Amino acid sequence: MSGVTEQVRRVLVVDDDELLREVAKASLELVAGWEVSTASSGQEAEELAREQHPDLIMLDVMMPGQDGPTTFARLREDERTEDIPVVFLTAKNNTEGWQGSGLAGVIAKPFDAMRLAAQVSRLLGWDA
Amino acid sequence: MSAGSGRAELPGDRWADPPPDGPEALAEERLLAAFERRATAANLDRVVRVAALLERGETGTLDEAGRPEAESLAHQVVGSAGTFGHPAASLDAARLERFFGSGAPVHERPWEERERARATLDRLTAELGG
Repeated sequence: MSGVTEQVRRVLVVDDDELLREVAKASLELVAGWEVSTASSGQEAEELAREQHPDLIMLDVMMPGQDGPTTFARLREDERTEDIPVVFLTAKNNTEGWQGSGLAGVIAKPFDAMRLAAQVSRLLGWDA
Repeated sequence: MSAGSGRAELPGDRWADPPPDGPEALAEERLLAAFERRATAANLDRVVRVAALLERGETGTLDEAGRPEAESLAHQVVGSAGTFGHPAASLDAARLERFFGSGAPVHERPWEERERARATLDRLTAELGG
């Protein structure tokens, strides 16, 4: 398997859809060789982010309960997680309100599993 | 792992590195195919629930929680179906998401609008193989 990056990154994928979580995790692990953990809710994401301090959080926007933007705001308010780059995963077309919010980027759903690591690397300026 | 047999190829839709071949590629194909089967079953289940909510909407019996539920289910199909090899289904699910996400209560909509929603739902079901 050819890797997208040489450095092992640690990524937290947050999505309420179990299969999207699984395919994103499988893709990032297989294609890029990154270490991927997952969370199914905003609250769980906050806990894992504090424990693991990953290199990146990929955060679904529309989730039941605490949605992505609320979770993002809470991560930014916590000094333990405020510096972790966050990329939104979203099927929403309108992303204008997020510009200037400190987001590292937005990846549209549906996404191509095989290109996901390359997309992330491009957004974060990670070596590809 | 490939992009899936039902997925339309997009311009510039290429690997950063050459795709693997041989046993490794076959294993990846099988892995993605397994994901796709599970996702399609889950999406068909969501569509059945949306259909039931639309029916209740047409009869004026959809409660306050029903409409955002239908919108949320359709939204889930948008992201999932497109990722798992059904781009046309993703677009139709987005139409249903918009239908439930705005406008008058379903039973007060013009007949033509409700008919379009039903047709979209039927097409979506067929696209997912249901």
